[in-house]
Amino acid sequence: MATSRLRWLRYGRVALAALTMLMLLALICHGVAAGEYWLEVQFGPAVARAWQLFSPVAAAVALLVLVLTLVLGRVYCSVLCPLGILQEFIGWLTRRRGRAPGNHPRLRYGIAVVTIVLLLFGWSLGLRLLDPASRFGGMVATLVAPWYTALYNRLFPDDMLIVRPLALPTLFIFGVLPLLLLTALVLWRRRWFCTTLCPVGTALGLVAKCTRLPLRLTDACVKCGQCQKVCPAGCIDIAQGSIDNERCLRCLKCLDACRFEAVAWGRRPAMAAAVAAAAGEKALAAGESTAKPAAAAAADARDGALPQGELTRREVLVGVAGVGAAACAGAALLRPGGVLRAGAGAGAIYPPGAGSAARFAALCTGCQLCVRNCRGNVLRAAGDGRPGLVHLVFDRGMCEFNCMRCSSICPTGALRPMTLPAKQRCRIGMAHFDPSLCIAVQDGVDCGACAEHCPTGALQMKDDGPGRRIPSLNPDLCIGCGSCEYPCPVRPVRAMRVEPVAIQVQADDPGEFFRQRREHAPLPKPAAGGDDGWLL
Amino acid sequence: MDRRHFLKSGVATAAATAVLADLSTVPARADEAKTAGAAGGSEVVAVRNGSAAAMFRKGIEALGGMTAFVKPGQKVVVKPNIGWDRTPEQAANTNPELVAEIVRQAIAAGAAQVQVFDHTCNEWKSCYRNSGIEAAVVAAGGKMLSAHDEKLHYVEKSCPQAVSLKTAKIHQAIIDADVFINVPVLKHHGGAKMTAAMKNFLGIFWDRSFMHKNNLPQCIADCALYRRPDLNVVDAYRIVVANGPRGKVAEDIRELRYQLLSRDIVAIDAMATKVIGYELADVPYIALAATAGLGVADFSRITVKRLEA
Repeated sequence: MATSRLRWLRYGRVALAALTMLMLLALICHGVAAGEYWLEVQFGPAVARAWQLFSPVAAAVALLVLVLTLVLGRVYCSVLCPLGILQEFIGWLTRRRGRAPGNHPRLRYGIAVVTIVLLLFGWSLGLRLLDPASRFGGMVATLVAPWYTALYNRLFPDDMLIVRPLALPTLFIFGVLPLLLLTALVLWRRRWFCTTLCPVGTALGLVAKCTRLPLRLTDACVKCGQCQKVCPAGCIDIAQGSIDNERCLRCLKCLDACRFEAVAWGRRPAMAAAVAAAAGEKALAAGESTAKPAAAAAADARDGALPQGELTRREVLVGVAGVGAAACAGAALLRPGGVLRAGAGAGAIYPPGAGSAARFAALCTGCQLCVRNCRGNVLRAAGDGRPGLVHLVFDRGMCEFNCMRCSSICPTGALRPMTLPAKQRCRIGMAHFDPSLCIAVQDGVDCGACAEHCPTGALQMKDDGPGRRIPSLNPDLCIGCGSCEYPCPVRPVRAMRVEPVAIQVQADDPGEFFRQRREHAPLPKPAAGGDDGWLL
Repeated sequence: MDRRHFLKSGVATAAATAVLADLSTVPARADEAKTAGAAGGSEVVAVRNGSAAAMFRKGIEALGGMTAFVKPGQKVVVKPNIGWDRTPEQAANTNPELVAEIVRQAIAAGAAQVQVFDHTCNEWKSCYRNSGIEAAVVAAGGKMLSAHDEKLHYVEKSCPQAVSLKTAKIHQAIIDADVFINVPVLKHHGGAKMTAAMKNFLGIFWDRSFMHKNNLPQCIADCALYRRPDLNVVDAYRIVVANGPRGKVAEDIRELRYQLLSRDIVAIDAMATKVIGYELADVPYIALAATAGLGVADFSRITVKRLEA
């Protein structure tokens, strides 16, 4: 047989991967809502969200991915994970140089255990460094989105996208450096990231190990080695005639490469299986292991004849306990808000739903989706000299009163979703009024820009002598949205500045406040006059 | 350099400066006389008790119909107030029905194109969408323009007659328009006391910050020098009477069902003070604009035509 029928499976995989890529790019670059479905299924963020928010939806999504993996193996890594798809693309561009990655179970499990333990303690450090969805988001937001925006705005000047500032260090931290590292890894050992570093991949791999539909080499295999040559995960052992489904990324290149259709996806047909099982037993009795069903391999493991790189049960138990205990201690001490870093994270204004500076510092993975979706153009990623992976700066706009895009799109639960009324009272900072800089106070200028923009009524212009009106701040109503700081015309330092708060609380309800006050001071009513009750 | 050279070059430089200055200066318009109350008085049409669109139909008829303002083939710009991300019921922006009716009538009068924009305070797409104005204008056959990119949409102009706002960046569409219809909503304003026809001009300029810094009432009065509107329509269907210009709570809003129309931007603002219940002296920019010759602020020289819709 010249070519395999099964290659169509691979084409299908490539098409699905392209769709995922397209939807996520559309979401990050343009805010296309349909892309949010692809964001929802990202496993790392879904697990974090399920745990941080006790979100049943996120838990269901994570479970669904696990079931998918249990049935089909790690198809997630080849059609749903944007970083996996990106690595395939880099490999394709560079004509698949690089050798197959080796099997490093100690490193792999170690990273996954640390990531999970820290996550249980409310610290997303592992995901921040290695979650494929978050790192992909950072790369696209800094390397692709600005170009897309520039091009789009040139083509459609009447429907312009928001041009977002990008500090050079931000570009480097989130874009250039991760992309260079990833490219280097791909050139060196293909998808070493996916089989060794990625905590999401490792977790899914443990489930994929027990997949109902494993990829395997059949008796038609002539050990030509073509499949092993194209495998980017290094999971095919041609000498043993086995495929390690824990590390197999379901790229399906082997299906395409095998000229003898000797790579099968799924279990053997029932009769063949029975025959094979019988043969296996015979082989075992004879002390041979040519054809190796899973049961036989497991039996081998018990006998101590481990395949290269596998761990014994003792090693696993001791390892998990030791690494897990170390991670527990690390989290308790080093997590923002932990014993040694009690005050960590304060010093900047964080998006509504962050809860507290420490909570947000511990949970944000820096995927930049909130930054890309901010309607007020106030969210900035780390790299502009202020603390925190994401924070607000009011030099180009204000936190829009009717918008809560950041907290609704946050995939990891670092920002708690809120109702609009709750968001409109969520105090993310506190306005600070400096009368010594205010031109209304100092020069008697009739300005009022701050009070004009304030959405809650925290700022009002109050009479201050004849013809003079100066801003007056009611802190109880202030939510720190920056609607005063942004329009304040004083330079270089503005008279109205929003200062960070350590903990976000609900401000007073403006409706209640003004209704109470009006009982004492009724609204001006248009004076009746003129003919027939005309006002003029 | 001898004296002759010195004089020659001096004259040449002065001439060049004059020419250049003239090129970037707002041209004095031929139709100034008709708005500036040269005839000794101004007319304001007041309509009440109808839908915003019905009141406009009644009012424009009294001013000779839309054909008196828009000639076939002309480019029309309608400038409502779309400053805030607020719904029509919250009355912080011009009533969308009114804007749509103006667009429809301008197109019926033969306008080549009708463009609508505002340099918004909140994020512009939210303002255009949630004000209901974008949908209403597009349905009526008009075109929404964006107005939030300094380089793309604004050109620098100077105006020597202005007292405070000597130079400003003004929206290209206003410069290019044959007919400019100013359609503000009447509101209380925390800074300027009242916002109506003149204050609405801040949305055709780029740098509001400069105006807030440099005597806001004077700047508001100076704004209209850059381009006289051909028609002003003040929407007072719903008005914000406290916590303006944005309005904070439902109690800040009154349903009045009034509308004012006039060619005279000063007279219409003067009359608007009566509608919202302020004294003329409460709103300093009206007197400043009258002094600059932009229109009539003296109630005794304003004739009001009162109509029920």
